[in-house]
Amino acid sequence: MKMFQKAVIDSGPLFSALVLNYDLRTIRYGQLPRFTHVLDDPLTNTFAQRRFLELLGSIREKLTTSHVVAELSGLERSRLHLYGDGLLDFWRTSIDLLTQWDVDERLIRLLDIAGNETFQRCIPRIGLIDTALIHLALRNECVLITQDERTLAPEALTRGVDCRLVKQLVPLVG
Amino acid sequence: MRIVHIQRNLEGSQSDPRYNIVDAGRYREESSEFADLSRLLSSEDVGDWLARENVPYSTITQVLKELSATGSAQVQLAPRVGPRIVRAWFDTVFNPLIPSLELELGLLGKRNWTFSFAPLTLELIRPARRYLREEAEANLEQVLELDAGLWANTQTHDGAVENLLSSVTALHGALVANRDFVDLCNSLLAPEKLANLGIRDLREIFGAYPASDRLNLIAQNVVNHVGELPSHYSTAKFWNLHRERLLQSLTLPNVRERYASTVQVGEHLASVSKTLLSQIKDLRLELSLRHDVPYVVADWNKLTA
Repeated sequence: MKMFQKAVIDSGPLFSALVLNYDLRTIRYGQLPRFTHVLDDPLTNTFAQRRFLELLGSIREKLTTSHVVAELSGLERSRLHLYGDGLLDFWRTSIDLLTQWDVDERLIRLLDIAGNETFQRCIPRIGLIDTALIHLALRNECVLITQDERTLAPEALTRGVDCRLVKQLVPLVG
Repeated sequence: MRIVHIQRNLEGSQSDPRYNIVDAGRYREESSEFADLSRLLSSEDVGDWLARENVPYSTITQVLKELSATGSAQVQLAPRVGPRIVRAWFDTVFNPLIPSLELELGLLGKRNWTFSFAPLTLELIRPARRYLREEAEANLEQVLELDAGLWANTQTHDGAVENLLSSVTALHGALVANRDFVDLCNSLLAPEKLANLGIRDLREIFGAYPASDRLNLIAQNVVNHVGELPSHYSTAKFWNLHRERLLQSLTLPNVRERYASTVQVGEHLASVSKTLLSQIKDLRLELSLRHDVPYVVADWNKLTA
């Protein structure tokens, strides 16, 4: 399995990890998984799910942006439809994992990016969130992990970022 | 208020008039699927029907007189639980509560109290209302108001959950205050021991948990009888290797008494939960058959969560 010393993680893979972690706990308690159906291929496959979590867990320095963290709470509402104590439970489980993983949430300020001519052109095309992820990966000279092959991945590769799609990192069959 | 319309049925004759009773419920929705219709009743049948609904004798006489004179009458009856209310109870109270109590029983059986030291709570063992959507609590209140037995058992259940939380909190406190437990943890976390696991820094185990939480976190796993952790947890390497040894801490002096008492409180809660669960299932069956309301219908997407 590939191991990275340092990586920037986009909201897609981070959200997938939180959902899988929550579902794995549900399975440990003798219940059926509830949310695997919201995930995209290859993460609908049990083997790939475990490989994916192990891969993310093995990254020594996991970086993300505050924009991504803010995006997570929107995803949990729109895709999981959790409520009340169930929602609280999802967040408790997720925060425990994020704490254990020591996820380093970095604030990338619009004004910092906007000062750079390259990024100025990026923002209107791919949005602030994706631009900030590219900026963070370039600044840290590290890999960027995403599931967004339509917008973020092509732009990141153009900007010279070592961008990896989850489906490239986690084979469907072991 | 519940309104009942009685009207002459044209299939009857002058000498033998027949009537239809439409029990439109509270919203006068005569065409609704929830309206009950009784057809071709004689005057005597109408009187019997009203008597069964506890309408006073004087009112029945008056209604029959009005029917004879005008061919129709309207009566106000006491509200009752009907299929609409039952549907709402099933969707918002009974159906979420049943699997939650089953999970609760499973966890109690494994002595996994799902205790969390920060915030101080039992994550998956909760008072009944906290298994429901917030907006469904009013429906639970209504069920409990109308069923004294269920109210009493729910109170007992919720009290037992509270007792369990106090008991596990005390057990966790006794463990982290126990010198032998602290020494054991410190020895297992000593740099030379960690080096054998290929760990150079405690942050590789505890991530961003502050140093002050580390002992609490291990004790939390111990009191919850946590099994082997999946390898994506940073604590897995440490916990899975030393789990058996750490769990033995529950037999330490000053801890074992707390542990025994917690097990007893947990067993009491399990017995109360079992009673509550079977009571809820019985009531659901009874209501379903009496009102012809299925346990589950409709859009699954709306019912999940």
